[in-house]
Amino acid sequence: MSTDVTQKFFAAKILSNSEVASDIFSMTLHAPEIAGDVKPGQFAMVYLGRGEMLLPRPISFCDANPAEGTVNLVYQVVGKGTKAMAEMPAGENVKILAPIGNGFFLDRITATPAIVGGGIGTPPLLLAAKALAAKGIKPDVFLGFRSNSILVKEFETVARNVYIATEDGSHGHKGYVTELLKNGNNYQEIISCGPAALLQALKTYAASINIPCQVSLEERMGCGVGTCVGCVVKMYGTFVRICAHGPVFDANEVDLNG
Amino acid sequence: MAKNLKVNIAGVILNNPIVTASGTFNSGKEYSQFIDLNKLGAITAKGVSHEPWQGNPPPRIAETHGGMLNAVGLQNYGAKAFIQEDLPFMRQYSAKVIVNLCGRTIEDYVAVARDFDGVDIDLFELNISCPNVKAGGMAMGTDPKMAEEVTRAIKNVTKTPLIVKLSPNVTNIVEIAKAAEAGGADGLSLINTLLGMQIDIHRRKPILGNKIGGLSGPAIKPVALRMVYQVAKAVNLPIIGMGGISAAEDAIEFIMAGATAVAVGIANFTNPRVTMEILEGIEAFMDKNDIQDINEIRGVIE
Ligand SMILES: Cc1cc2nc3c(=O)[nH]c(=O)nc-3n(C[C@H](O)[C@H](O)[C@H](O)COP(=O)(O)OP(=O)(O)OC[C@H]3O[C@@H](n4cnc5c(N)ncnc54)[C@H](O)[C@@H]3O)c2cc1C
Ligand SMILES: Cc1cc2nc3c(=O)[nH]c(=O)nc-3n(C[C@H](O)[C@H](O)[C@H](O)COP(=O)(O)O)c2cc1C
Ligand code: FES
Repeated sequence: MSTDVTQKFFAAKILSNSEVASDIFSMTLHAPEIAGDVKPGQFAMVYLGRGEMLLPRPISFCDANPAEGTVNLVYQVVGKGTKAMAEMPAGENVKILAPIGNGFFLDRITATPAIVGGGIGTPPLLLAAKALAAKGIKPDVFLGFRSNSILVKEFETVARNVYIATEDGSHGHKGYVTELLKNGNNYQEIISCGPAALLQALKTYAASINIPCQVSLEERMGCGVGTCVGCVVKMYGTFVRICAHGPVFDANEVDLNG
Repeated sequence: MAKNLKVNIAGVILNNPIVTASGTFNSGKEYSQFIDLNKLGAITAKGVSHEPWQGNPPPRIAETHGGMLNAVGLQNYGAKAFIQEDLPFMRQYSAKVIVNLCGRTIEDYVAVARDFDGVDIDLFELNISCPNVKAGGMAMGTDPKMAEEVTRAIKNVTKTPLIVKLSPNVTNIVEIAKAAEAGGADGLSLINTLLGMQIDIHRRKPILGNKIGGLSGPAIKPVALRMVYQVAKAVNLPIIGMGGISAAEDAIEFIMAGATAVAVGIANFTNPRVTMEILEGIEAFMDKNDIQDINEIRGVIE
């Protein structure tokens, strides 16, 4: 649980913050305070420092470089808060609270898993793929996008195979990423992050072929540290806090339909 | 001479007037990573009921301009689990412990108060104002007769000093405050959240799973301050003022309006160290204005 590890709240210098695809930004922070502690699947609360937008925004770690003391966040501009993030200039500081959450269950992975990401759910999976590759288990990676793909090159350096699907056919298979994931039995597990509909489809598929499926969940957050009980998902009939108990859960333990 | 920040709430001496607002600070464990809980006057634990409550379906949070709506629905593990799991942690610190009580009926409230028989806590805060719980919280906080009755019922079963937390969702806040005083309240706290709503126009649905929720944050501060001012003039009880406090200047406003202590809620979400910054800001204000005792400025607004 996140409350057992030491989280830090501090100002990090923005080393770069630029658009890498349409409406998708990549922000690299100087954060030696945490760069060595970040686990794949964990996230940061990013404080906007704006009076009218009080709540910090949860953004996953896409990368962490302990040697250089840096971390990387990849985010999509979907509203006012992420727009404010996109406008933060390099050289300035941004306050963050991190690392938050449990992260993906990678210790138990001993054979090739399928990593499946949808849209802006893909960034945290890069760090997971890297960690697996580092222990000699290159994952097969399946990524689905509406149109523009992101991070494909980065995944190619650490994956056994990378399969792409786009809804408009602009890159790879035309259609949904789930249509590419046929031989699930070849995999020890599915490791996933993305829109609720994708996670639900993967949960159903994994159950049908009897393999575990881990999902990283999103919910609107207030505090990010477990105090407001705002960010919940139903787990075995009771609401648990995603920021404190997740964001990664075994799909069969949670109700993904709200 | 060292200046005095100590304040007295119903016979309980707080080292300083900074309190955390119920439901925004859990029992302090998470924020103890960022601040020294010994530097708080008191910690108000999240609302606790006799039996566990499961709370409302998500989404429970919606940000608004300068504020936030919540519809958590008082999810909690019940008094027994609170006493076993949270209270020992809280008791390690010099901050006083305020236990926030929730119930759907008078019997519920009495039951949860009795759960604390013989348990070492400093103050009760009676949440008769939670706008999220359909079955009763709302009605009691908005009806003077019910407010008086539930206050008296709890006073009859406990010796722990009782603060009654008022709902702002009423036409006449002074009337409810007087009812709580008549019921035997030892103090008042105000305000709880203001009922509000937000709609996702693209999905044509309310954002909150519960459709409506409680608004807090800077957006409600002028309303909260006005209510504290009116109530302080009308009753003879110590007041914990809250609603949108996020800086020392806000806290000082509430004290000048008549609050003995101030509680900080969602400002903790915006800045986990805000309580310490508010405390330091109050001390700096006292130094600058040659104020020896924080109690000197309480209620100075005519
Ligand atoms: C654990 C976690 C990890 C995440 N990681 C990433 C990431 O790596 N990259 C990325 O682009 N996005 C990520 N998100 C989603 C991101 O937090 C939201 O897109 C963002 O908060 C939207 O803010 P906004 O102000 O731009 O949008 P608005 O719609 O204007 O936001 C208004 C409010 O709604 C909340 N909100 C809106 N959509 C979401 C959502 N999907 N999830 C949570 N809160 C939401 C905001 O936080 C804010 O409080 C993650 C979310 C969670 C919970
Ligand atoms: C997420 C959340 C949970 C809350 N839970 C409680 C509660 O359990 N009991 C209670 O009396 N008030 C509760 N409140 C109300 C606060 O204690 C406080 O009265 C209100 O938020 C106004 O203060 P603020 O503007 O500083 O947040 C809650 C508020 C929030 C935002
Ligand atoms: S965001 Fe507050 S409990 Fe998770």
